[in-house]
Amino acid sequence: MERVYGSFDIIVIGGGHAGCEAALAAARLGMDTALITLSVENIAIMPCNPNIGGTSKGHLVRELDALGGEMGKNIDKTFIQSKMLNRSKGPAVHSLRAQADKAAYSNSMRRVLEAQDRLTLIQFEVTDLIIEEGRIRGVKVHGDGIFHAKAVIIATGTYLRARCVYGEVSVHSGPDSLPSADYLTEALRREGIAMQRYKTGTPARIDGRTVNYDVMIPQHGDERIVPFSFTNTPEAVAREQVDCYLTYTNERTHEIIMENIDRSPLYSGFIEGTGPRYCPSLEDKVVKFADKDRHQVFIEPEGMYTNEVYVAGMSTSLPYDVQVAMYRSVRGLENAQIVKNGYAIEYDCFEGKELLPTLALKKVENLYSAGQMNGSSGYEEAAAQGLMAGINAVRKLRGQEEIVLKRSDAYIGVLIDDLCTKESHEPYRMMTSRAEYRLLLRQDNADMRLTPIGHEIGLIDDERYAAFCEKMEAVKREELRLKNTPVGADKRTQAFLSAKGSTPLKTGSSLAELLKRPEMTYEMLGELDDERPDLPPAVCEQVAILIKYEGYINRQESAVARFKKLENKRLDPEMDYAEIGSLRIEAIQKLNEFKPVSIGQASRIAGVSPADISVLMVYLEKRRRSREKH
Amino acid sequence: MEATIAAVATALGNGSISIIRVSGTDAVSIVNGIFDGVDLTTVPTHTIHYGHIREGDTIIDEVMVTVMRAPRTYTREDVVEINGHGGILVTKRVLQALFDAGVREAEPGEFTKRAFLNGRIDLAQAESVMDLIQAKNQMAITNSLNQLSGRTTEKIRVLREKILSEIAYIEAALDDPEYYEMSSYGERIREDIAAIEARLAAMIRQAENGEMMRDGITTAIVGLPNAGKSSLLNYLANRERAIVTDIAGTTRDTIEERILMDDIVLNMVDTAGIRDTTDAVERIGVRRSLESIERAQLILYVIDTSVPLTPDNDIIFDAIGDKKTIILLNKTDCQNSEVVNELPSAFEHVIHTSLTEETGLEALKDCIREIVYEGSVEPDEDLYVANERQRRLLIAARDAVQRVLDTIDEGFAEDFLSIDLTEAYASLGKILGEEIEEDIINKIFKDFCMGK
Repeated sequence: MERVYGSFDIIVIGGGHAGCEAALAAARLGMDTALITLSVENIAIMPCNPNIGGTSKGHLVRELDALGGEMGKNIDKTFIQSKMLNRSKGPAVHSLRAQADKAAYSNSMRRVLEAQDRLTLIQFEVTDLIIEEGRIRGVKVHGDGIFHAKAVIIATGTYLRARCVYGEVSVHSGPDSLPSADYLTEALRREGIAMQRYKTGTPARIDGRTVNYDVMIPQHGDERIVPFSFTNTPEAVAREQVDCYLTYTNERTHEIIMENIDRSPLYSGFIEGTGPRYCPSLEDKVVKFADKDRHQVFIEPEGMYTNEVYVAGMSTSLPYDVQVAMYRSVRGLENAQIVKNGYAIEYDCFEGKELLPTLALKKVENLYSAGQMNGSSGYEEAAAQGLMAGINAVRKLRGQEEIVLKRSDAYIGVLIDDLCTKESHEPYRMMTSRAEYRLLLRQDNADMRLTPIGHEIGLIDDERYAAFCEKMEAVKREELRLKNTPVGADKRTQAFLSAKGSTPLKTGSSLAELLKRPEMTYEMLGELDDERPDLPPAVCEQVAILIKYEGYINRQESAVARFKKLENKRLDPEMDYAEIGSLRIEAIQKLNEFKPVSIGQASRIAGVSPADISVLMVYLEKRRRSREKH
Repeated sequence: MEATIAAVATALGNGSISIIRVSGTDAVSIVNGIFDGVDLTTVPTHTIHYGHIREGDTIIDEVMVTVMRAPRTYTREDVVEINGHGGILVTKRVLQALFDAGVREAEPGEFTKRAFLNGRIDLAQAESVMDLIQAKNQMAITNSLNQLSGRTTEKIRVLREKILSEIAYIEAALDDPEYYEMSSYGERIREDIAAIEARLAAMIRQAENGEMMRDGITTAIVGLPNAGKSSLLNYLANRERAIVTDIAGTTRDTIEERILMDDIVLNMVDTAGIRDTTDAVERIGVRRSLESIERAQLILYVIDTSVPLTPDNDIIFDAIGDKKTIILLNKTDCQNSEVVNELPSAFEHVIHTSLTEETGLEALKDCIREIVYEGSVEPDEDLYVANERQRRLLIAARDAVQRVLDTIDEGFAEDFLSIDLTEAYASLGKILGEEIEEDIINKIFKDFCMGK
């Protein structure tokens, strides 16, 4: 018999990185929110790599923070090593990555959830969705219990009908032996929602006492740590850091793999799901890149609470005995004792065409989805979607316009647009090369891009917003000052320039012009800049970037202006494209499948040509005019 | 704010005038910038003005310019129409001057699209507007690809693949900086990038010389022995730009020269003198000559008018049938007037020449142009449009690669390189009708072992 167990505004299914952000955003925006998870002990766990951030993923975390999300603050509290990657490259590709203490990260996030007003944690398996007249009304749990909700956010990660596989062993479970969720897929299929099966994997965890670090290359953290959260300062997050270690696979490792490749479930066909190309198992790497005689292996601590170390670069689903031999063939791992073996995991997730760019499902009103369920992979990708799904569920219930970040606004915009526009066959990972306007989407200016939006949404409080505005003012003032401060071709200047190995001036110039010289930095110019005010490092950094890369930035900005034109032309998601005879057949099929929300999105669907877009624009105008007539 | 676009509104090469239509926000000011005459920005709307179009200090054409301000125009935007002298080369130069001044080439059907979007065209015509856009675009793509020679397509593919490899390496290294080393990568690849730039520059020159086009017009010079065939070929080859290009495999004929006459590429086929003969070797030559006539699109039949026509001349007349032919009555300097009267009357194009005195040859060229532009030999307008589009895209690619070199020289970090490389890659892709889509990502995963 059905019984009503409770009633909320918003229910979030799943307590991973997506679920946490979604639930926090909903509760913080004033909604009575429940987070229902299979295991409250396992809030925000990291079942794979023990780090947050990395190239382009670090951008996502900074953006999330600028909008008022939690991940940045939580990793700032719990990291044990931090590094800014690509520091020698341009500012657009600087990327933060921190090693997390997994338990501390999970516990800290759990405390944040527990401290949040209007947020209730409930441990249950959601078995069904209650959908009436195409709208979500709540969820069912075991025992036919019902929780009512006006909106539901699915953030079930890799748990739907999950299966963990290594060698000939197949265990029906989620990651880390947690139970899988076996019923929700059916409920979604019933609504005609297209699902697919994805695969990913993880390496073994090894007892750190059995690792010989002496023969490996230590990898230190940065001396001066840049925090993820804009609310933190380097001083505030300074702490003792731990090292990671680098070693390599060798020919013997590869031989062991090739001798046993027929026992790999990936190659025997035992695994059917599609695996990600950016995160291949070592057996994949050895087969596909047979010319490489070694691969990097990073030994990374799982945290301070355990001896376990993560063996990055050696993800595998080979049988246990082969894993043992394989790991032990690596220099420094000769005596390694495996605590948890590596495995591949298969799970159900949505096809991207089921999603609107708001992260709502097209087929069920007020039902949202975030994270690996949407075909992405990675903690950061999940968290970013969780935040957006949480925000949009709230705004939908309030009758406010939902927030869709554009590809020119944020990596988050690129991520979500890709997920719901591109036909993908593997879990999606963020990469810098996916962002067309990456010079504008830097990790250093995520606040400039997004904090005003976060403030308008209501996740950035007035105090933080005021501090942000002050920073912006300071940046503007200083930029203007440098542009308007003349530098004469006098003795002092020429002496300064020659001392810095820079060509002397022929005529008068400005500080800004000098700063544009590749060899010149803002700090160096201080010698010549008598009026320089005392400014926070974040302001100086921003000013230097804006001036130094002005040419590139301007070019990308004009490209963005063109891009936005098409983005702002809305399409009706109910439209039947077969009505437009002049479209090519392939375009009609793809447009009907994806039902894009804007001309811009339509133009990014594979199989839609520029001519089809021109035709669409004429069609829209035709429709508009015939409506005006009536 | 709509971008200002331009295109030739009349059929190229047809008639004595050509009209270039310019439409968009900056139409008047941009045309004014290349116009010698009254200040067009101050003239009343719907007025026509005499003046000259110039390119730097050089006058390109004497023109009448019509200024029509929005909204009473075809597109309901500011429109300027330049009425020029109709020559294909002149029209092209005026158009290029506009492009150089910041005007964008109109997409196929774009004027009509704008006319509709701006409410100029009736709602009832919407369907036909959409059909027109789709059809014109399809045709443009097909033409563009058809006009590229296989070798050119291959060259572009090779360059693209090289550029893609560089992008993929840079992007892979940015994505996995602990695995892929990239310090001073710019200096390491500078030479390769410079080579790509040089290749592109060479291709732009070829595009300007019409060398990229697959099909010139196969033109056979025929006649009896010693009628003056070789003199004609030599004359044309010396006076016009001879194209030196490897065209092996494209023809079974012996093409002596590829000649560019304005925009027209003539594949000149030399033939052996034709006569009835019993000599076995010569018969083979004659047979080949007759086959050449059959394959040729245009025939230049050189007749020696100093001697009477012979039955051998009839063999050629028979072989020509109703093919496009220009009869050259050569050796006017020692003409036997009888001959002229004996000619079959079916031939429309008859020209008197003297190759020794170099007379009548301008008339010959005019005649060739007339036949070609009339459209009875090749659809030259599309050919021209396709070629111009390719040229612009090549220039865009070359400019982007040039910026890459500048970026290297200025010492910017490696991630800046891939921005312009990607632009070059995209421009070259457009020539082949290919989008970037997932190319870069796929290439990264294919060539580089990514991820932990």
